[in-house]
Amino acid sequence: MMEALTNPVILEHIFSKLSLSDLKTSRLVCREWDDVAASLLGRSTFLNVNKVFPFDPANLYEMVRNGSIHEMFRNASINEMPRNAGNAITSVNDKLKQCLLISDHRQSLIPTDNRFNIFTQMMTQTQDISQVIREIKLFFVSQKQFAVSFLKWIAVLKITSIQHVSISISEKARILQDEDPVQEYPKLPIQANLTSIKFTCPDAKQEILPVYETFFQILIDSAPNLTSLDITGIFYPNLERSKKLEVLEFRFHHWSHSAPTKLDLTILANILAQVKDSLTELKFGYIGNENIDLLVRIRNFLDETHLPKLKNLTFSKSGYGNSIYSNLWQRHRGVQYVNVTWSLNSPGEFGKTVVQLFPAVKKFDFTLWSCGGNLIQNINNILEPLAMWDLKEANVVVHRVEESSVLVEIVKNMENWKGIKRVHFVDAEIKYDDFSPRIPDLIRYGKGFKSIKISGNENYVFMDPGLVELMRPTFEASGAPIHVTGGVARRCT
Amino acid sequence: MPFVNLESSDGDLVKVDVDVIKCSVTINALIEHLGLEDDNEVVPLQNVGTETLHKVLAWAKHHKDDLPSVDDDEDDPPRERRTDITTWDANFIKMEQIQLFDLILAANYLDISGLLDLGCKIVADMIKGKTADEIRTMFNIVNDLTPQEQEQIRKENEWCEEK
Repeated sequence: MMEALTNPVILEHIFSKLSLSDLKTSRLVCREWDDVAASLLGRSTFLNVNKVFPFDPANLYEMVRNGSIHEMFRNASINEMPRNAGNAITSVNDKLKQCLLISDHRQSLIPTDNRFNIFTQMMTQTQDISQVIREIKLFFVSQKQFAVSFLKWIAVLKITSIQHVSISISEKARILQDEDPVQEYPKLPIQANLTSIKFTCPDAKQEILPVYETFFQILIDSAPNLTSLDITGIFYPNLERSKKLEVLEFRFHHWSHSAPTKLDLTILANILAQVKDSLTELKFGYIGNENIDLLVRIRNFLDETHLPKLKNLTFSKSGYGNSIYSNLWQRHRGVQYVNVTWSLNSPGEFGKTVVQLFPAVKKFDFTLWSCGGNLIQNINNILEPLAMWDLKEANVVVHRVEESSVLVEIVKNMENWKGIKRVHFVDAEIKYDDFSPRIPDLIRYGKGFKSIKISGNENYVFMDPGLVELMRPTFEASGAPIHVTGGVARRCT
Repeated sequence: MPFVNLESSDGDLVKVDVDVIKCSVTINALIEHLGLEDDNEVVPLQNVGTETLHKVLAWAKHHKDDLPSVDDDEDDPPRERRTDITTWDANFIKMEQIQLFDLILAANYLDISGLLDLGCKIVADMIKGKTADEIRTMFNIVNDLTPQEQEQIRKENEWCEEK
């Protein structure tokens, strides 16, 4: 074999460029390759522990058919079952146990109790991997007992190398009638390596949240070195002990047809006060169809006094609309990174305002939505003042541009910005006949960019791959980094 | 302009502009460590043959004025990232397998990330879509895994899911 192909450093470099399926194939080539590829696979994938569970579907089907499965579960003592599953886990390559995915998802045929047994089984068999596991994803938690089992397992592992835990509560979560209300969650030993926690609670399930709040809080309290906390849903943690928390992400849903939001910014402000001396990054995400201005009425907590160390600020919003909640924003001269969503159809002085509020911004991520119309004046109001920023980097994503004049105007405005610039026109629907005469302008303004991408969505546009090919030589010869993969058509919907 | 003399494993001396070879972390460190002020100073490269050394230098000369690579595509997971290979690089890297692997070894030893990346990209492209058998044949690798071990790997692979 070539010497280069036995060198672990080089092999890792090669494997890092492979797709997951090619990486898995590489494990089968020889022992040396397996060794390196398994490490990489272990870092980049989750080992689905439920699948390791030794239930052969063919056998299971047979057992269900002849009724013996009920016998098996009735008779199996908790000591007997663990050994089987535990062995299955033990025989898996340790390198693959770095990231574990454990699901409470209802698996057909496997009785509910056995999902908790996974933990019981692992408790007896996996103490040796407490130093191997880096990440755990607890997926689709639907019963308190599952959460309790999980904590008991972690408590058995004692000191672990777990750095990241992610927990999502199922849409189907329910409170069992026979659930023991006094059943206590176990206390956890200090998890010194645990630095990042993520909780997701579905919007429609706020009423079950109290059952899991203690669960979440126990994890948070066990992690004195927690630096990053990501919450989807309305859960207000107590961060009194999280003295090292740097990144707080808070995402909530609100749809106008659903119940009034329980988002309480007064409580959120109190939480931020607990971590004001360490927090450098705040991400505030909103999934819904209204402007949040309608929902919140609180001021003076996103400013220099209340969050003195804040550097990065994200106000994201999924879907069309604005994410900038002008009544929340306060001047902050320490903020160096801003990420916002804005609508091109919104009139107003966006650009001027944001430059005044955050004069020290170095990196800017911007999502823009367009719903057609004459937007040139708006574009200038939004983009032109941003040339005042001493930017190092700007990434702009523009959704659904319909007019090529709008597209060119955006590029023309951005040309004057400082730093590395990228713009991506996503789901564009522009007409070729309109676009074609503007191409020379686009090239002229686009020369100083890092990249300009235009792509389409076949649901909106009558795709014409021939047009992309037709334009390719022009852009390739232009010296401007323009890549068109779609979004331009002879006619649009 | 300062020069440095590189001695290949074949014993040949090649005089190189320091500015050209600054892409090599290894040689940069050596120059700093040895404080080469004398143009006659020789840096021995025990792991790089003459032919390979000339290839490395050709690449380094072409990329002399490249900006230091910034990892600015942090949004894309590394595996998804498809950085395009320039036409010059694509022509440069067209060579026999044995030379390609010598070049990769040299890039690794000299710590030239751009060249190592290019070589590894080519090898990754060769692996893409092939079966384990085809890969072994292509690179002349002996299968030292037992059928049981292969079966276990196949099972484990099925249990590993994308993040």
